[in-house]
Amino acid sequence: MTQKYRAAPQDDLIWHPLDSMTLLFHRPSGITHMLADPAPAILEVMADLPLTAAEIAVRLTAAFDLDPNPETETIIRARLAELSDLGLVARVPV
Amino acid sequence: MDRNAMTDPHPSDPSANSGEPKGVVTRRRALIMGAISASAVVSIKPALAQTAGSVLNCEIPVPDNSAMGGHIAPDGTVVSADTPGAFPAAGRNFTGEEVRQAMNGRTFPGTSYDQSQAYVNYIRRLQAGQSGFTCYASLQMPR
Repeated sequence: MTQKYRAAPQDDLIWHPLDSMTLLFHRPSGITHMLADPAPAILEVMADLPLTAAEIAVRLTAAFDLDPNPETETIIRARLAELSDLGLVARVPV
Repeated sequence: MDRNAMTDPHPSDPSANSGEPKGVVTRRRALIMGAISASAVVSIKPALAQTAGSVLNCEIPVPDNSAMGGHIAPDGTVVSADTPGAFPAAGRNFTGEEVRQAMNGRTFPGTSYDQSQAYVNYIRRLQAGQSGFTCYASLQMPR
């Protein structure tokens, strides 16, 4: 899977940590999202770079203590699909 | 949000005051990946969706004005007009109600099933900043 994703521009987002959740207001859509792990971390490590799920997995592993899980990349891909449907990440044309 | 907060050392962590240079992450936050099928996002209705009528009457152009003249491939991408198998632009905006019904399996008025599916796939690919995105996003909100 070589599909790359890019997080929504930071200027479009307002973040607010809320205990174990993170509130995220998306200015263009006017929608507030409640994010649970690992969604905020995925958006955090993406910065403003076009990245594949595998590249995001590497960055998450470097930045966080992850439980060893052979499905990490698959989970990331599922979360990216979810975030993409909401406009919080964009699929970068290959 | 202070994005560094996610990696700040916890105050109870002995390494937090180890005298290391500021900005050096000395303790990494544990991250729960969850299950593949476990949704990680709950969205709160935008003001637009507060009134059902607004959602049903909002409009989505296919394609976006910036892609005017392009055709819609079966997977929803905008392609050049000479692309085999691609469908011409819808010719009019679809209402939120039409899109909702099409996403539930109906066809858009005056279109074939495959053509409708191509248009639905285009709408599913809408991103922030494109015409119709907010309308589409509002349709995703639970009533």
